[in-house]
Amino acid sequence: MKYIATVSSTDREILSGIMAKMEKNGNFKVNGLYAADLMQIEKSDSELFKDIAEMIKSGRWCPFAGAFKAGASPNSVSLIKSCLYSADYFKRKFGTEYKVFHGKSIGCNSFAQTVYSSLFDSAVLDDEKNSFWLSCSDGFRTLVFAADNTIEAEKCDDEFIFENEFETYEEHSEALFSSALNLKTVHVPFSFDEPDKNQAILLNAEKTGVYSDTKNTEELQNAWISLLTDGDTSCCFSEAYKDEKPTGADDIFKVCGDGVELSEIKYAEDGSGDVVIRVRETGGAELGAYIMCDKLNAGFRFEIMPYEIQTFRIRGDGTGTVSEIYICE
Amino acid sequence: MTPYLLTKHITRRASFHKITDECVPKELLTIKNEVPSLSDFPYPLPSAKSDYTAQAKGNGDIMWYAGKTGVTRYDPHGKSIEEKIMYFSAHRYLPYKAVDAILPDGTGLWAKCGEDVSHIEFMVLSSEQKAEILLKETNEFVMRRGMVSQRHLREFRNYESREDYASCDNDGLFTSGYAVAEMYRYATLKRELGANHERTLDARKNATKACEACLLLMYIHGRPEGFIARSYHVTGEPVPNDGIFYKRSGKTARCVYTDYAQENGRVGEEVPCDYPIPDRLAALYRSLGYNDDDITYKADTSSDEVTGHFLQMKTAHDILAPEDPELDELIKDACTRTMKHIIDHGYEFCESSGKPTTWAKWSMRYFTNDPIGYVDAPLNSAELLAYLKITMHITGESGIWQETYDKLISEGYADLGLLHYDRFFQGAMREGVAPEEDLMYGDNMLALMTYWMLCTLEKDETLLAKYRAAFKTWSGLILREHTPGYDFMYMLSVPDAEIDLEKDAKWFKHFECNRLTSSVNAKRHDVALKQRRNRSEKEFFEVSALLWPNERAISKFDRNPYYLTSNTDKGGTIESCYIYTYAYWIGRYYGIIAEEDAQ
Repeated sequence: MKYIATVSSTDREILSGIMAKMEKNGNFKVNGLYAADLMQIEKSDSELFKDIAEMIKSGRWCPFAGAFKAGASPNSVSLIKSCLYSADYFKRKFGTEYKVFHGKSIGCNSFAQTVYSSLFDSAVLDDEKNSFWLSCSDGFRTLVFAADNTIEAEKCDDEFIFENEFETYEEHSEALFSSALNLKTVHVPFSFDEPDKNQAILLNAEKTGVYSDTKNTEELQNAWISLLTDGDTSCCFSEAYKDEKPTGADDIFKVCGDGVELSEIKYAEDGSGDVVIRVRETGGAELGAYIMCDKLNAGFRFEIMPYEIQTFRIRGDGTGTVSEIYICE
Repeated sequence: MTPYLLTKHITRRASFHKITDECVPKELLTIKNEVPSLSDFPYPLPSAKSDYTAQAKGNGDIMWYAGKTGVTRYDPHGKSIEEKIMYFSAHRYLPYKAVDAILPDGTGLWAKCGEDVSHIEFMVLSSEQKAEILLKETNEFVMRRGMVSQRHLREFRNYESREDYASCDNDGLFTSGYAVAEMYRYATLKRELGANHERTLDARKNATKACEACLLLMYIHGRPEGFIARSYHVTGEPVPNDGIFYKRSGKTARCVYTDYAQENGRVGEEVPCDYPIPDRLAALYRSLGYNDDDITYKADTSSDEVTGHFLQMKTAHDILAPEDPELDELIKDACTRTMKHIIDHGYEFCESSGKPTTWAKWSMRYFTNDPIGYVDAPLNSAELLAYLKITMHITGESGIWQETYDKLISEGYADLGLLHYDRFFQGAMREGVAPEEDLMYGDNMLALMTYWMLCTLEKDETLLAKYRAAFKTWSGLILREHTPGYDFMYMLSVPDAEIDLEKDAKWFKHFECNRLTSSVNAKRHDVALKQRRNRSEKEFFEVSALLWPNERAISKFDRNPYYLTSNTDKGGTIESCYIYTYAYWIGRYYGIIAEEDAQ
């Protein structure tokens, strides 16, 4: 049996000890630390961060992708943003992508959809002790798995490490999909939860940026990360955005489709000037809809399934070319 | 059930000409079209607005726009977006994408593309008329010795340049589909027009010939134990370099050279072929001057073929056989021998060597020891149960068939079907792709045929509930296509199915009345391109909105209708009509659809 060694502490001494064991024992692999933890370590101890970064790049340290920070059951907005910024962080910092979402609990009813559409194949949740197929009434599903061979990395001594084999959640997930999985299916009804006050402010600020051609992408990224880590929007986006409807909003993007709503409008995270929009179906019906945006020379049709959230990227170069993309954009 | 009424509708037709052809109006060569102003256009347009360089007013309020990537017809009174916005592009409707000039012509349009010209016309047809036109095309240009798959052309768009031969891996499956369609056409016309009506008699003749062509594949190998050939060729036809073929000679058939046969050490392999081919079936080639030694048949038969044959035999037994006892005897013999073969070989279809074919395995051995078998198990287990049910239905016997059925049920075969989506999802994740990307689209039709038969023939409520529940695990990917041929079988099997018949009606409406496989530019401006879920983020593969059949690639049932086509087919093949006629006549027979004018 291969062990899954996990790291839940951000204590410097504990992490240094684990690093020492990893350097001494080439077979030792660990799983742990969310994006928020790694950001904090980078600020407080750049040498330790550098060492961990090397292990992450080598594949022996598998961070917790998915949720941006430990704890808290996410609503759908924070889940989407967590997946977006978590995936972006790991790709940008270490050049790595992950298939296993790691978080606390299912949290919201768009969980399976968000996990799937963020390119995660499966999920490990702290609150779930059993493995099952999670199927939501929006038609999306994911595999939630609980590994029974986990062990805290800090408790592994050299002798134990020497005598055993270790794997990451990513490797474990690969093996799981290759084996028989006659698991029960847990069905979850669907409902949308609305953004809370601070999220609404940032969503509005993103939208306003697009309407006014204000490319404040970096500031918004920082604000979202701040919100995801501290629950604080102490940034340049003030309460002024609360409840303010951007001027001319309805004239720029016209959505035609009963029950289809624009839930997000923002510039692409890469600063290209492309515009990313999310729409969601709210009536529980499969339907065809279309969006017109003369400002970007775009007009396109799409199909949306009951309660589906779809993300589109419209080229900002005036061609109006549109791609349907995944949430981690 | 109250039938959904299909109405008469316009159907497109395009003919290509040279600018020097007499039929081309001279005005087209000199006309200076206005450049359209589309800044406030209310709907998504198939070409970028800046690509439109010409506009012309058609009949009524119809507007035509043309430019660098094709022609758009705008009807502000259209009932749906597909009726408001119609797109015409190369190679189906235009010789080239770029259009220089347009000239309305009644309801149609002349479009000049360099030295070439397209004449786009509209016909008002009922869905039934369309079915008859498509059938005529297939019978005249696609069918060969009763088999119906597709026919290649030596010269694009020129039907007279069709090859004298054709080859297809799945002749049995596709011809079965055609045969079933014709049987339901016959049954419907017989009910509505009487047994002796000219159209009824024609339908019966067609259906019988197709049934015989299918049954011939179950005898043409001449193997004493039951087997089904994928297809066959006669002397003078090239044998494709693809798969395993045996050339008959007297009482022995030998495997001929193909790269695949060579790689697998099969070349020269001898198999017996002394089981007689019934004269009635052999007449399909003997009447053309060929004898049994002129036959080269294709083996390595798949479960696709077997499933098609069983559905075809069941339908023929129900519809044709009551008036044709000789045919029924052939059906019973073919069915019994095939089923016996499968049972005797441990629920696998085997070559004479005793080794199973690549893709016809229904055994627990395959389901548990092979990663592909593990994913195939839910469908294949149901297929085997369906074959047994059909065998009992056709023969009127129980005996070994019922014993085997009961044994399989006790081994969990009826429960495996419920695991379809779990295993399918698991397989896709294992491969690192999205489920819809991992789907073998041909499996949709196999699942539909299988569960339709199982749900029709199974009377035990517990088992029936299991089959229906298993069928529902296929519904997500199947029903998203709004293909009537799929939806009707699903409706007939799952009483609480929610089928959007309005969309099915659209499918009939937006189906061309020819099956020439010329492509239409799918990389259009009014749909988003959907990236693969394979993390490479480099390759696009689907469009975000389902385009109806007249604006997407022409194919059989086994292709992804969302697939972004390469737009390279200039009209090199004629496909068969069966995906239309199968849907139409099953729908008509069971009262799911009806023609408004007939009410």
